[in-house]
Amino acid sequence: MLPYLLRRLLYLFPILLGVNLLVFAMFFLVNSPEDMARQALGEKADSPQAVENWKEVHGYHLPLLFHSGKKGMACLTETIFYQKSLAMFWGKFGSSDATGKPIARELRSRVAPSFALSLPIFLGTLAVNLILGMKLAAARGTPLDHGGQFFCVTLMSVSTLILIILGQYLGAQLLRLSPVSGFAYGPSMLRFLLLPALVGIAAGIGSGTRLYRTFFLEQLSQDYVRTARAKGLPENQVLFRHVLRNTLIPVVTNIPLYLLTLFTGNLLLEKFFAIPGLGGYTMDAIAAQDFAVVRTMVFLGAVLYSLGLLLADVAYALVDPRIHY
Amino acid sequence: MRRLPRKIYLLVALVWALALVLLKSCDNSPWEEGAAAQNTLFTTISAEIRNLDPAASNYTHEFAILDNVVEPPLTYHYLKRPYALLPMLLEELPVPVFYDPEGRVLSGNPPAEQVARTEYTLRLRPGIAYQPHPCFSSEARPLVELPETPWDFGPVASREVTAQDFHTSLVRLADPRSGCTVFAQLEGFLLGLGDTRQAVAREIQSLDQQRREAGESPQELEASPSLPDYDAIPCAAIQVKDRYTFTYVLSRKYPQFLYWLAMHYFAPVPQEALAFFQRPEARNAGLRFANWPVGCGPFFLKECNLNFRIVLERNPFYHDFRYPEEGTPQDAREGRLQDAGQKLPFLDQVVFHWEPEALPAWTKFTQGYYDFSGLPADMFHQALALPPGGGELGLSPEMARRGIAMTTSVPPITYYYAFNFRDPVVGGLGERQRLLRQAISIALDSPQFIQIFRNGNGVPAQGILPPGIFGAANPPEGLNHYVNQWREGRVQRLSLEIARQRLAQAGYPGGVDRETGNPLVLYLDHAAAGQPDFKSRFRWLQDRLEELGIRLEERGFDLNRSRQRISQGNWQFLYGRAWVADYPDPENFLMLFASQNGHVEHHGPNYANYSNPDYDRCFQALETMEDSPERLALIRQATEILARDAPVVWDFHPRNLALVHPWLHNFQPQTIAYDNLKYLRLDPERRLQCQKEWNRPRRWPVLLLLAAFTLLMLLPRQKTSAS
Repeated sequence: MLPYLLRRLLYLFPILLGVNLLVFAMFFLVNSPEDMARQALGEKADSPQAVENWKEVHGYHLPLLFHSGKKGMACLTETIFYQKSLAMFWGKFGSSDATGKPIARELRSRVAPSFALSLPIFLGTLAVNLILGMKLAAARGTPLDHGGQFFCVTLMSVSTLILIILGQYLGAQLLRLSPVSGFAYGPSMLRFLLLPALVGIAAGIGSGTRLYRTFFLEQLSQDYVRTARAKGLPENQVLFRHVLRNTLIPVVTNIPLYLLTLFTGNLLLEKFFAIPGLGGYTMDAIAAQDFAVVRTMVFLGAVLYSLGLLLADVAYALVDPRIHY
Repeated sequence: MRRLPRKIYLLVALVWALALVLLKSCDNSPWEEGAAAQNTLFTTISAEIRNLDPAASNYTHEFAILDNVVEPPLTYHYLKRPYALLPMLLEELPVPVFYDPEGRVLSGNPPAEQVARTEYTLRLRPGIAYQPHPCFSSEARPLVELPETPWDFGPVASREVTAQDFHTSLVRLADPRSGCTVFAQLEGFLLGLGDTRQAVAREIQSLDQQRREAGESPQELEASPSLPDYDAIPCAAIQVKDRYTFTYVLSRKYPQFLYWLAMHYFAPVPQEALAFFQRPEARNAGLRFANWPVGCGPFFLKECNLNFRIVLERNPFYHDFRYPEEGTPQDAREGRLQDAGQKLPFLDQVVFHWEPEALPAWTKFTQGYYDFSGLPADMFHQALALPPGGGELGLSPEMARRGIAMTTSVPPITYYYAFNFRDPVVGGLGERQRLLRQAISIALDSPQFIQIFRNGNGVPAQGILPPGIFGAANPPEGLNHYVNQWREGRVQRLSLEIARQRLAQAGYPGGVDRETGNPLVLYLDHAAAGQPDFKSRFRWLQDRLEELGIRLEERGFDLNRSRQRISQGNWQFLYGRAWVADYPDPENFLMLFASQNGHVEHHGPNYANYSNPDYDRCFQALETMEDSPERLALIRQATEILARDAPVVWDFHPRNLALVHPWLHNFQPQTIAYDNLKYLRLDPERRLQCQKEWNRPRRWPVLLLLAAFTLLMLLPRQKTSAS
């Protein structure tokens, strides 16, 4: 497997280079360095002199991809693409174009709150979906199954925003048991994360339960289930010991793909619950025409997604002995 | 009965134990235990803080923090209206001295064309000290391995503010890397500031060269840019006379300079602070002066986590500045003069919490966790109500019962729709275009717009000058009679019939071009497609113009393309523009229509590209005058020309509502100055009482759910048969 892993890791470089180039092209097709300067300076202060000065100070006075005034390698290195985008390969993310704040430091401070919210949502949603999915599958065709499916479809139809507002009303205004929004570092964090985590779990129940119900139904019709029941095993043991294990194969192999969302956070939940995470970071950067943050976030997203796919492949081999690399 | 497995009992017991622990410790307070009992004001930040550097900060939500940390030489009287300047760091208000081209002093108030140079000499009050900061201590060093704030360096010290610090701050404004957004304006009146910028650039080049020769790599230079000694760079615009006296030198007569002295750009900056943030330990920790400004204001930055919270703490070395003893009769009635003569500030701490969404922030205000709040549009009907017998809109009974007070203010902001004067259909000084613009102005009924889209919160604009600015007059005196009329003691829009007549006189009877027979189609240019209420506003505009037979089409672009089209003059009728005053002088508004500020030709703020020689003459005469009857007459003349030419449709001046809890005193909405935190006083005991009373947790629904869960788990169940 080692040569396979090494090969896949080497593939990362052309993939990341391509992603970088694509982001660079897409960003500068829509925004010029002058547009970025005007956006950063504001309408009252965007005189041509101020725009030129901003470009010079922020390193956007260089040509985009090729510097015709230079010779040798300098015609490639004295460009915005080389100095801004390729520098990320050696871990240099630079500072935000809009705020001047070092991006690496910003990522460090934002990733923990995002992770602290995403992890319980991920685990909670997984657990609830597995249990509900299994129970509904076991009760297939009964009023419980019909009622459960109706409940799932209803949850899928309600937007997350409504769930957030409803959760905030119930938790903070009606019961007065949770702050409506906010955050704290350290153990007090739990007080602030409970409500958004419950809302996040509720938002993920509908589609997840229906998906897992389908997985379970597929397994329940297998011969080994009939055999287990014929041997007189209690129903709970059939479900939790045999069916669950086999259903987990597609679940476990998909888990690495969720790695990305664990770190990048949840835009709506973080915004409405004022959690200082990464959820809105990229969106705010796009609105502010902040190329430094946009390129960094896309770059890190591509790295995490590629690693997630790699881990998913490894997980296949670990849980299914028929697969070899 | 079948006996239940032991693990079921364990599970139920575990759930109960967990739930009871959680319920015991849960309430809806977002603050730490005991925080509400402190003399701490809690408020919000809802937009991203980009820069807190006094040289570069350019957004009003940043001023609300920055202007309470750094202090310029002058400030505005907290209560007096119209706005009046006061010395803050100075002994007295500076008086200009005018010089002719030969260097002779000109007496009195000479006309601008005779003045070749103006000097303002400022005398600092001795004993004003900076906030405590490690930058002033020679022993400052990192106390922890990875410092995160300047307070991780120790120990702290302070020093007196001197005249030399104003030299440092002014030369720093000329540094191309300081990001000073108003440099172009400053260069227009401060003597030789352009030369100073070149001198700073040369000094930086020389320092870079020396570092390169010493073997430093380009990466090191980029990571730690050279810091020039600003004190050593000569600057013709400022002369330091002694420790407390210095003179600003202007290249012309410019009375508005005094207003600039009340802006943070002119706050003193200590060179030690700049050097501190240049230290490798500070730079490696990502600490920047732009996030940790150092000043002599009433508060200093204790915590600066921009996407979480910002904490200001009382400056123990704050100079002796007192609460005003004069105010309006309304101030006396509403108790804002009770603290007259008291030393400021009253608060120990101010906490700004990051609240990107209005709804949670509003909920926290109603729970008593924020001390004051604006009124989000969606919450209008929750907070306000008509009294039972009719009359003016007031607080809802629930809000009034809680002792919440409402204050209103009209900030110096004017909203308008602009016509492009370079457009052949709507632009130019021709009678045909003028009548067309007047007809459109009548049809776009701003009082109706205010009622529909702003819940009545706005003052219909009669011209560019908002209330409270010298020269602005309430109707009937200041009535724009080309659009409105004064009847039965109130302003009424001219009828649509009159608008149709003007349209017909313009050559478009019934909205059809008399010459070509084509229907008149206008194009509304905008970059507002993403705004939630744009569609309904556009629909309203369409309906209003439809009344005249004019068809309105929209031309939406993204922000970049829209800016590009505006800068090229490639548009016709511009949607929803606003001008926010930099300082409370009519010149700051009337300049929007001077041809010298034309946007296409001069990249100025005259977005309509309006050009009228009569108006220009008026503007040039009044621009450099002190407020006087002569200036007032010129202002009236200028506004009359604008009313007749109608280069824009005057829309409205917003009316802002603020709601204040009963434990917060001296609250006064600030519309020009943002250094208001020092005037606020709190009664933390009352706040704590109210918070407890309003937020008692309701635990019984959870207990009921737990009981149901227990029953479900413990009730005997039939064994499920295998299907």
